[in-house]
This record gives sequence, structure tokens and C-alpha cells, in this order.
Amino acid sequence: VNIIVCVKAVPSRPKNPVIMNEGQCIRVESPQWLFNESDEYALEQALLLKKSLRASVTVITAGPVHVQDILYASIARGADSAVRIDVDEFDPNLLAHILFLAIKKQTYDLVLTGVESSDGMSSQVGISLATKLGVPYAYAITKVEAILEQKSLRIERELGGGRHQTLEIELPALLAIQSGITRLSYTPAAKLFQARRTGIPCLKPEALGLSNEELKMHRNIKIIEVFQRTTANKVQLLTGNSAEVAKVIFDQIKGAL
Amino acid sequence: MGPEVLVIGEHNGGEIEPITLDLVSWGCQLAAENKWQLGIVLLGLGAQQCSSKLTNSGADVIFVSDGPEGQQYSTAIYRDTIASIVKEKQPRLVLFGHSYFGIEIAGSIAVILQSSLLSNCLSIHTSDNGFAVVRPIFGGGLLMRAHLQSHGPVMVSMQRGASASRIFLTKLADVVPIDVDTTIPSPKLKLVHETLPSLGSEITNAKVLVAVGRGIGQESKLSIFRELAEQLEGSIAASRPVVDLGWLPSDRQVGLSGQTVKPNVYLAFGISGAAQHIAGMREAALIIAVNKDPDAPIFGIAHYGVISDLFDVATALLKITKAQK
Repeated sequence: VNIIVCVKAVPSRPKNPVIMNEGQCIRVESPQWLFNESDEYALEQALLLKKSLRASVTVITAGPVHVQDILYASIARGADSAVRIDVDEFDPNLLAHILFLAIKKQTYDLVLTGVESSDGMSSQVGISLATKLGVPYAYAITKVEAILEQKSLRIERELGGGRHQTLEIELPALLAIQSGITRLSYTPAAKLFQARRTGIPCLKPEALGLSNEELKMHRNIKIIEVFQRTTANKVQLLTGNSAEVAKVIFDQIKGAL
Repeated sequence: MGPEVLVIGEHNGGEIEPITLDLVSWGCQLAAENKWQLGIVLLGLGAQQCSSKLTNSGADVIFVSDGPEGQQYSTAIYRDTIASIVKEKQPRLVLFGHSYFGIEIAGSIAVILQSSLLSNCLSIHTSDNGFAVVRPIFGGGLLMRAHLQSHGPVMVSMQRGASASRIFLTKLADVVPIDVDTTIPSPKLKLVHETLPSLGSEITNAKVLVAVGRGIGQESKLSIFRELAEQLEGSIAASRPVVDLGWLPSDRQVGLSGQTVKPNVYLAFGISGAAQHIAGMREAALIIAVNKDPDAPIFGIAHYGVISDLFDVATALLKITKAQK
């Protein structure tokens, strides 16, 4: 069983956003680039399946070289291999296409993604990728169980408002994993150190067969402006020492009851 | 030629989902400004009944497919049906809700139609032969404005609560039945069963909610908030990360994936205010947020905000509450 996990590194504290490449991506400064939350859970779920099904786990990301740390971390946790596609794109439509070009050449039974990345916030890449691959998919998965003899998985998904569904999905398939599906494991520093010596293959978009014409065809979105969210409703900020602030809060609560 | 704007409606078998009304109001505004027509698509069991509630909504046409077989509708059927309607009607814009349903189909339909999708949007307007949208990025503290244009129909999904100023159009929509092929030769995704949320849970009934987020730092810190909730005769609630960490059970979770609450008072401690959380508590009558981070999106919706240490404020508030008893 081959599992591919699509992961993304996201900035811990994005600062000074600048629009790059004529509106195609946003560059930010950040002290750290961390695992996107739900992607980390997707990896953890893949590693659980690796144990129970003796699967092999390949981790893939699309981004510039500074996102590579999460690939080393993935190997340290138990992933068998990792690949980085060397692109800097923000459009989820295009990212889904780039991942598709990379994944379609591989043998896979299961592709896992997270539900949403904290930078793009589109919740789209997994769904679009599954459609391009022509495999069944499900979103916001909170439980995965293998049904070996049938080559399918029993999964549980969220529908919102506390509703859940249990489904059976035939492999190959794509699942967008919800945060919290399992407990995250601890990565020993020694393993991380060791993983850092692993060579991570870097794929150029040309090697995937992504021509300039194809890129142009996919470019329907242009970022015009990035700005701070100004609060539409005027939040009244309470200042003073804790006792003074607490008094105002208490009076407001009493008034509202 | 069909309507220029097509809204993909959602309902729960008899009631229109609120997000659909948001979409219809955006659709009305775009239609009125550009002299366009607005269409709505309603599918599944109860769609006919719901369509009668939208005939006065400002839409020109409602495409409906009802019927008992609607009960077995799967995501794939919804998706393929909507894709074929869009292919046939060639609207300029298809509006989806950024809901579980919308997320599961919009990104797929965009691929099927070789179009592009901009999801999770807060506003949409026409611009330069295309559309300009505003949407959150990087956790919601920042917004981006983007332009979207394609040769064929483009797809946009809108957040719940992102509503245009209501333009009231007096017209009566035509209700047009459509045929849906509900047979999938060999379904690759089968429903085993569905669990409904427990009704009338404690947090949906509470008048005061003391809600905690990841910002409380550790499980052992919960006790002061529990005590505060008790003193205020309310309940303790949580955002998703706290439940994921196992610090509180899932029936305490407020947000899109948890419960929608509407208390008189919502005290948010250490909750950053992700869109998925805000969707579940925005209608609280009084929202007071305490957070260390001045950029936390929760301050965008709170009535009162305190940028401070959570525990200092909670301790002081607990002291006053006890003193007043």
C-alpha cells in the first residue's frame, strides 16, 4: 500500500506581505515555517496506517526551499521519502494542478491532505486534486479504518453542526484529514538530526511537464492587494488594571442578562 | 442563454440554509448593478418545498430537482448535476457557500469545467470584465483582494455571514424542474450511517458561555474558567483546538464543526477567532474577548476587547463575581 501525503509549511508569524510575480504569490517574512496544522495530522494518520498496513509513506510539498524543514521532520517521524516541487504559487487551482502532475506519475492507493492551510485558507486543493486524479474523495475526515480484503477504507467525516457520517470509500482515494484525528507523536531530536542528512529530491515544474502555455491557461486569478483586516464593528478596548477591566466586564454581563 | 449569476442553494430538506440567503443577496446585488438575471439551483429531497420560499427573493429562475430518490443523493450526484447545469446555462458566475457541502463540490466542479475557484470570500463585485473578491489569508488577520476572470463561468464561494446590502427586487421567479440522473454505475463512496448531534446540549441552552481556546496554554488552567462559568451560572465551551487536544469533550465545541450558540453573553478567553469558530458564535448578544494578541481576528467581532493576560482578567472577574453573591 502506497500513501502520499500532501503537506504545506506555513509561516508562524507572517509579517510584511509583498505581492510577487505580477499577483501570483505573496511573500511574507516569518521567524519560523511550521507544519500546517491539519497536514501534520494527515501525516500522523498516514504513519498509523503505515504500521497497520505496512504501507510506504511519501510526503510531497510544493514550495520554495525555505519550506523544506517540514520534509525533514516528516522523515524523522517515519515517512519513507519526501519530495519538494520547486514552485512559489498561491493559487490553489494551480497548486492542485502541480500536485496532480507530480502524483499521477506515482503508484498510490491513498492520498491524504489536510482540510485547509492557514496561509491560503481555501480548503480547496485536496478536492480539486482528487477530481484531477479521477479518484473518490471525502472532506473533513475524523476517523480512518482499513478494510483490507475489500481494498477500501471505512471513514468518518464531519458535516458541520455536530453531524457525522460513516462511509466506505474504495481505493485509490483521497481524504482531506481534519485536525485532531489522532494524537500527534513526538519527534526525537536525534532522529531529526539524522533526517537532515537525507537528500530531498527537488522537482522543477518543467520536469513535471508543466509548460508555459499550460501555466498561462491556469492563471485566472491575480492578487491585487493585501491589507490588514480592519474591524468592521468598533470593538471597544478596555484598558486599566485587571480589577478595573473585570469590573467593566462584570457590569456588562449583568446588563446583558 | 441562462442567468448570468447562478447560486447553488443549500437546504436541510425543508429549510433553506442561512448561507444560501447570503448568496442570494450577493446575487441580487450583482444582478441589479449589471442588469443581469439571477438563478438558483436547489437539489435533493425537499427542494420543491424550499423553492417556494425563494420565489420572492429577487431571483429570476429557480432550477429544482426533488423526488424521493433525492434521499440517496451523494456528493458525486450533486456535483455532476450542478456541473452539467453550469455547462448548459453558461453563467458568468457560480456562487457556492463556503460550507462543508460547498467545499466538497466547488473545487471539483471548477476542475470538471476547467475553470477557477476563489473560495472562502467575504465580498464580491464586478471588475474589469471579471470579478473582484476579498478573502481572508494567513489566519484571517490579513485580507487579500483578487481579480478573477476566465473564458467560461468562474466559481466563487462565500463565507457564511458575508452578506451584501439587501437590494429588494420585486419579481417572481420561474420555478423550472430539471432532470437528474441519480444512477451511479458503481459508487466508490457508500454511506454506512449518519449520526445526528445531540439536541439541546448544555452549551446551546446556556445564557452565559465562558469559552476557552488554545491560548489558555494547558489543561490544568481550565479550572479557573470552569469556576467562572459556574459563578456566572453559565457553561464552559471551547474552540476546536481545545477539543482536539482532549481537554474538553466535543459537545463543548463551538463552531462550524461543533455547535452554533446564541447566548446572551459570550466570554472568549484565548480564542484567536478563526472563521470556523466565529461561524458558531457570531450571533451572541454580547461578545467579550480577552486575548494577548492584538491582531487576533476575534477582536473583529467582539463588542468589548481586552488585550491582556487571560488569567489576570479571569482571576479578577472571578473575585468580583464571588464578592457580588
